[in-house]
Amino acid sequence: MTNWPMRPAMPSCLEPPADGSPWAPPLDSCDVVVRLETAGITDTVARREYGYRNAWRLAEACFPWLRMFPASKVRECRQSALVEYLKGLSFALPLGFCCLAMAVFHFSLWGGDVSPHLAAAVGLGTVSSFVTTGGVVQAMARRGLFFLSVQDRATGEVVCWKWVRLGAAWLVICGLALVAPCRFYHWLPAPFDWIAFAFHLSLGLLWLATGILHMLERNLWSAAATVVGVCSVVLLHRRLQVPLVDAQLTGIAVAAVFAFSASFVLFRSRRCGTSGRPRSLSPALDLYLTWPHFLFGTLYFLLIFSDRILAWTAPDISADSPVQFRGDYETALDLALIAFVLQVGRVRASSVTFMRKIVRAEKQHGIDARSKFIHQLRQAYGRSTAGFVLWGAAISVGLYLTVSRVGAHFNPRSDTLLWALVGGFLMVIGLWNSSLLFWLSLPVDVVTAIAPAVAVDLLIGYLMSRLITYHYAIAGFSSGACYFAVLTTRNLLRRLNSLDYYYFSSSI
Amino acid sequence: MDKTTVLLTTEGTYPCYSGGVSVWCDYLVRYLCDIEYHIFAITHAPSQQARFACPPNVTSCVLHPMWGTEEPGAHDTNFSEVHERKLRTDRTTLLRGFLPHFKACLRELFNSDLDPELLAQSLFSLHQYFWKHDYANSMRSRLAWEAFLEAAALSGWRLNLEEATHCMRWVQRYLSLLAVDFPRVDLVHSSMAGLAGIPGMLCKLGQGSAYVLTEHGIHMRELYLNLSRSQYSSRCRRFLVGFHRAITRMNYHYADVVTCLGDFNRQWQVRFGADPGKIRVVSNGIDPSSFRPRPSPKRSRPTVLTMARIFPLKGIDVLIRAAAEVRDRVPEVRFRVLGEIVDQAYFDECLRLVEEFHLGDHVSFGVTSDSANAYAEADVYCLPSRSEGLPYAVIEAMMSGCPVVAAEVGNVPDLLGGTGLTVTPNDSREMAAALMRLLSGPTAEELRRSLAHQALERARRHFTINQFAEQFEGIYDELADAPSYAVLSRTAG
Repeated sequence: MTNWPMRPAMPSCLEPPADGSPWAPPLDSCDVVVRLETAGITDTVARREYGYRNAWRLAEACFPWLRMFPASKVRECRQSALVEYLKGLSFALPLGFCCLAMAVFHFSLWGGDVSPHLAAAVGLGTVSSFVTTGGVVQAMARRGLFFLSVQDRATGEVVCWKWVRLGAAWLVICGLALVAPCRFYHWLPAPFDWIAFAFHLSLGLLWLATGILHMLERNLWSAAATVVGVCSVVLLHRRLQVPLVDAQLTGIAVAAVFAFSASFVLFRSRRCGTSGRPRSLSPALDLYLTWPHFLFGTLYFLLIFSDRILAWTAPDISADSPVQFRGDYETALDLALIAFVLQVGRVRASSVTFMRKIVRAEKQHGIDARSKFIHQLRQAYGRSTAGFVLWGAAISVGLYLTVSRVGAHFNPRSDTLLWALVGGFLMVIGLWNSSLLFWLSLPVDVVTAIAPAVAVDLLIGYLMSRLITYHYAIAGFSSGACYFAVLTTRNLLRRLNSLDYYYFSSSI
Repeated sequence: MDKTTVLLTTEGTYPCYSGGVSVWCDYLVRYLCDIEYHIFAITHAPSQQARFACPPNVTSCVLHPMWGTEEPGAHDTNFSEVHERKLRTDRTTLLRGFLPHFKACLRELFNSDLDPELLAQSLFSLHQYFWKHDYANSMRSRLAWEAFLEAAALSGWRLNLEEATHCMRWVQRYLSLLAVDFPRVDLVHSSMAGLAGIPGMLCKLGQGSAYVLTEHGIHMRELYLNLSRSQYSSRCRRFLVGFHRAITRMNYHYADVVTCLGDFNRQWQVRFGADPGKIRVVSNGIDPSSFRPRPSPKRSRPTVLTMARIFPLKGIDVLIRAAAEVRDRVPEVRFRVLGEIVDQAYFDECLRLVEEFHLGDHVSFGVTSDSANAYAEADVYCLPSRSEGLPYAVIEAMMSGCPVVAAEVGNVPDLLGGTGLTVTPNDSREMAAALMRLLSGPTAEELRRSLAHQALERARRHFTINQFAEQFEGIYDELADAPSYAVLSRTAG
């Protein structure tokens, strides 16, 4: 029979606090002595009030009892899946406001009832603004988020503005590179090439500004910038009779200034109360750390938009310029975009949930049970992917049926819409995989998947649009998205086989 | 004759942070002006900047951020060099040059019966490997991760995967010092027995430098303090304690001289493996010309001064409770707390207490750039701390002729030597009673004058900067004359 020692007269300061504040059982008697000392129990007090020779003896007597108390539970802070989904959707709010403006006023920050040449110019400027800034925004977010996550706000801010300046310079260079062939090959008659340039530049600046707001998780400010921009267009065009294109360019500039100002104010408010000056960073190191992100951002928008360019440039005898905006093609893609946005909203929520599952499973499995851990997470990945498939299928089918029945006045090409829905659905699978690969700090795996996908997109889109009709340029997008989904799935499954290692190495 | 060169290593203190250790380092480099110092400071984050201006005898100052960098390890070097190192770090070099030493290091870190020399040899071999190979690529390799899990399993540590991830992340950050190229020096002086001591061991093995280790608070004691408030699992905390205990023991083993501030600290050092024969007590000292009794300005209200950075261990909450009791007996009393706010939540709690006890007219917080004047304006200096080494503020108060009431913590009783009133730590009543003895009643003034006089005499006798500088100069000279450790040349490595 074990004889338990008598419980000593133990100072209450050693016991777990009644209010549930954090407490952990001591590791050894040294740990107890330190706790006694901070509670004011010196050798004199230990002798006088507890009858021990000194604090060490008191600690040695208390330790066996204290180790039996359990540690206080760590409260996990988590948000509901719906909140995460809405946060994931919030990036599309500006787009939503633009659609609303289009329905109410028949124009928005861009678009409206304009001539074919103007539509082509605006379309080209818009697409090139996305492709040009996509990489810059990704690189900026990568660096900015890193510094914000390590509480180095001053450097985070400096880095963001540096990327904005680089982005602006890059916009001008790429814009001029767009205008030159337009002029040389007469793709667009003057002055539409310069209108394309103006939209490219102003929208590009707006994307850079909203990129910062997205990084700071302030998508509502991006939406507010859009509203301010649209209101400016309405005021200028409707009230002051300014031509629509001029009003739109001014509106975009106003929205960009608003978004940049909001970013500045948000940075300033976060800077309050923090110490430290910004670090000086080596440009070579910056380039080394961001090249995969820059490539991904650029290639992503190329994958999304290259079919449009192929459709607009497909030979057409009736067209009076080589670049022809295709309204029916655009309508089908815009409708498919609704389904795409609703699916993409899940990516953030599912990624956050998956990362939580990794942490939970890591706690459940010992270092000798790694195969079980990997098996559990592969199953969880499979279930989440199945969720994407079901959700995507339901949304795509629902949208297709709705458009078939009640959307006749939009007059979309049903085969284009179908290809676009399939492509969007596959793209979301690829983005879901990419999101996990980014979480695991494996951006090169994403780039090696998206680069061939863009090549497939361009090749098949070109052949289909030239051999059949421009409506089939979308087959390039769908094929590219399929390739992207397959390659990212393959890459991710390979990495999941050593998830414990990649999770460890993803730390900063 | 060439100047003696010393590498002074710090962690979370000089020259980026305020506090007693930083003041100590500042005095050391300023008053030992014939010594050529190189500073190697471990900081928390790369955004930390130096707060102290280094004197001309400091020839280099390297800040090494432990956290918040893109990759652990050296990062301020030329990028092309880093890239070359990365290219050289392939599977073959990892298997041959890195893994055996890393495994040996892990074996010792997981071993409760550590051999400090085996640990030091493995760390030194890794240090040599990192001269040519990339730290981040090596420590983040799958081989390193597998080696860590294997070592943990073999040592019977039943870590779960999350704990293993945490522990290995700590290891890869802490050992990033091994990737640093330290200057050639005669002597390394570490201001802490923890990570800041590793360069001492590396330079001793690599260059034959002598190694002096000075501890103010005891590293292990401070680690326990921090961990008692952490949310890590028991096994993670145990690993951290084991890791730091191993490093501390290794530092005690390799240090030629270990200095501390008093007997209280000496007991802790011996408990953690320091050879009592190596330990010497070297007290802090200050410049008597900066802090001296000044004619006190006419005051309408009796003033109690506390100079302390504001965080829980400084016991400002205890002072406020005591202030409430003193105010009842001495209604015109004023408490001035001067110091930087380190813990905002704790400061808010203090403000709440001030409001709760209606002490708005009696307690004020602030900072000062003229601390000598603040002592002159005070009737009593009060130290309410829960833990201390050998606080500079008390020495300054003694030297300024300001009577002291202090909690009986750390080396404070030895420091005062009966020339001030000591009270039980955390006991606001006892503190209030001591303060009232000095502030009210017919004998208060006489008692203040007498304590101030005795404290001044004691401070001038034992705690001047000249004595402090002479003692360290003596240690440096003594070690410079001693035969150096076996030197392993870099080229031979």
